[in-house]
Amino acid sequence: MTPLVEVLFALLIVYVISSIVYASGKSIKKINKTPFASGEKIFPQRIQYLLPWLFYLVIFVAIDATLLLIALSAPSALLLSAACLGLVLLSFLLIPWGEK
Amino acid sequence: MILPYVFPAIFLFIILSFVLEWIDRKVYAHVQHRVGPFVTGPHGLLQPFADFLKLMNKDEMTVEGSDEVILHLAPILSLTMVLFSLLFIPITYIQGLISLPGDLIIILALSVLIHMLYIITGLAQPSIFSYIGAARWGQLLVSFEIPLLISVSSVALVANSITISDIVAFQAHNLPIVLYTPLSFVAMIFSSLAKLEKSPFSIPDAETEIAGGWLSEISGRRLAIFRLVTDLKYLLLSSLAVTLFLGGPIGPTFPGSEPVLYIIWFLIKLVLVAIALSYMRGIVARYRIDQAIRFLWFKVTPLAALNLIILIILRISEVI
Repeated sequence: MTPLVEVLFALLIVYVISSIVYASGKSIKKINKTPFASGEKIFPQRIQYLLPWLFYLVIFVAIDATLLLIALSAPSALLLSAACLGLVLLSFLLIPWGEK
Repeated sequence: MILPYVFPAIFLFIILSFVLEWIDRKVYAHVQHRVGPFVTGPHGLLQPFADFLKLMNKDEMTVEGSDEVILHLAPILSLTMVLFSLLFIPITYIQGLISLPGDLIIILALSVLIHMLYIITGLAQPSIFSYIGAARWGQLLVSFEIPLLISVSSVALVANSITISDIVAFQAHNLPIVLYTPLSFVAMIFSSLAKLEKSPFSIPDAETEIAGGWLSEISGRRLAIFRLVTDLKYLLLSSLAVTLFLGGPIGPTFPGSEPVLYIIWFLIKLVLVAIALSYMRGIVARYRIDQAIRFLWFKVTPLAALNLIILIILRISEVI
């Protein structure tokens, strides 16, 4: 198994390389702000969306996947599976009930 | 010490992803009785790289009112995530460059996050086409992730582990897992097509309907990076299918030849899976979003679930 410190450094290296690749592309000082890249004169409108719901979706999918995989790959680890199930149920607390 | 190998590995992955894009375009073209890329390099092999360079050198346009921080960060973060995920894939040995307990979950979680970045990118632009593309991504995401997770769960159940090196080691001493989980393999191939926006699931960026969808207002280097991420995702999902179902780099070898033959076996399997994905893209038309969701929920998910149920019954009755 790879030591965690090396994994974190590897992640950092990958991030730096990705940033360099992105920065090596052509960037223009003055940003062309047009209604649309196609040049069509349609009134630009910003769609309203709720970030808390997106965060909830990410967390739920991640925890849900973890539960399923751990529960199936370690059938004897009932305590671990139960703990994961508890985490999934806890994730419901993150639902932004008040937001509409 | 893995750090000296990270940069060469990333370089190799990017080259491999360009080669896979060339294979994809060639197969797709031949299915339609065209020759495909033919001018740049031998048989057009360098065309994907030329396209990348061309896009990197074009002006980038930003729509008025868009969220510029997200538009700068999303390409970098998605490229980081997909390249980092590839470091877990074993190519030269049963263990990848990085190996952690439960690393299969890390790859799946990172792949979900990449799609969340796509959705946020689409929503960060004040364009109705981008918004529709992002909404379609969201609808597809909840449809293809479930069968994919069930397929991967079948693999974890057979190998009794969620660590990639353990799964490959299991296949080194037993039969390839695809023989235990053929239905899950089929489900994973369909989920991969949806994850890659390939026909019949090329719905979020449908050019003829929504002018490129979530990518319609993306140009220049951002578009180049997002296309590179798509190619790398193609490499990642093909490699994941090879690793989880087809034994990864494991194949017949003779003493002393393992390092070379492991790579050759892996590449052969990788190209076969990539050709299968491209061929399927070529022979089917694009679904409507409701048809795609219905197909994924009512055909692909039950297929994966059926295989999982069979495996659970076999496990309970101690057959496997």
